[in-house]
Amino acid sequence: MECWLSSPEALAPKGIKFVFLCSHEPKDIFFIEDLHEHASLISEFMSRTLGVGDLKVVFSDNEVIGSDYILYSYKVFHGGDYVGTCRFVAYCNKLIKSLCTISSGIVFERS
Amino acid sequence: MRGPDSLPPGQRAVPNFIIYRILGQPEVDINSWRLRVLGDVSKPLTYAYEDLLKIVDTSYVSDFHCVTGWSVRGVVWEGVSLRKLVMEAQPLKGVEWVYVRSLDKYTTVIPYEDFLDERGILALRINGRPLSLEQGFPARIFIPHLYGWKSAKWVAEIIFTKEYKDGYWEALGYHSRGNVWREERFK
Repeated sequence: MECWLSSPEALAPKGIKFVFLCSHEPKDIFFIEDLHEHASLISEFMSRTLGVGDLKVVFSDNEVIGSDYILYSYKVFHGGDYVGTCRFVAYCNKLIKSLCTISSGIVFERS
Repeated sequence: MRGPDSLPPGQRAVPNFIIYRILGQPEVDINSWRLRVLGDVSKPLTYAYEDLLKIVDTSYVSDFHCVTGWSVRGVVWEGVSLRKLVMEAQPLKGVEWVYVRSLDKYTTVIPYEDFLDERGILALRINGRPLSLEQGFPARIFIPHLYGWKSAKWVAEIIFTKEYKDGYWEALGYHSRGNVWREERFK
């Protein structure tokens, strides 16, 4: 898995400070459970990169895009506060990309 | 095979537009609103709404395609061809992108070559009426072969540039071009 961290100016009006964009080898997704390990990996990666200890990535819902894509949406929590969103993109039931956003409203205490 | 009545891959027809206002509904004071055309151009331009009404030159029927998968068929679009704005502003050699900024601070980026498509339009009217506020009054971009997130509503600035910069949805992983027939939904 390769991830890039950015702070796009275009998302500032929405209060988004950080974007993590990750690409990885396609992985079969047939059940929400198939994404649990991936969610944990993303959570650990973001926590480590941002220097915080306890980001949690929790499944929220999913939606179809076109007829072949499904977006699996997750909420990101920090110490119980909702601080961001992850969207995992599956094409024909294969996970191909992950994108997480972290709010600018949260001030992280460096651990 | 792409027939005259076919929909792009992955799209389904719905009876009417689904309205999205991801950054909220901006207030529009039509007396003070101006469209600015700027960036890497020989001649920066500023248009009032009345100015645009006087140079309306394009009307046609075309489907609208949202990246989420719905399409509205047979929409009547009327407005100013984007080519006319290009001819007036005279972008500099090397321009490759057009960055669009809206009143609500929404942004999107369009490849210059797609912006020059003969059916690209700054729409002022839809289906015989001026744009409603929800549909982007006073003006929105429309380029038939690109997904709807490129059709920025409440347009305030059209910026020609040599450098690529993500707009709102592009920063969230959506495609830099968004061609509906190539199903360019994500980067």
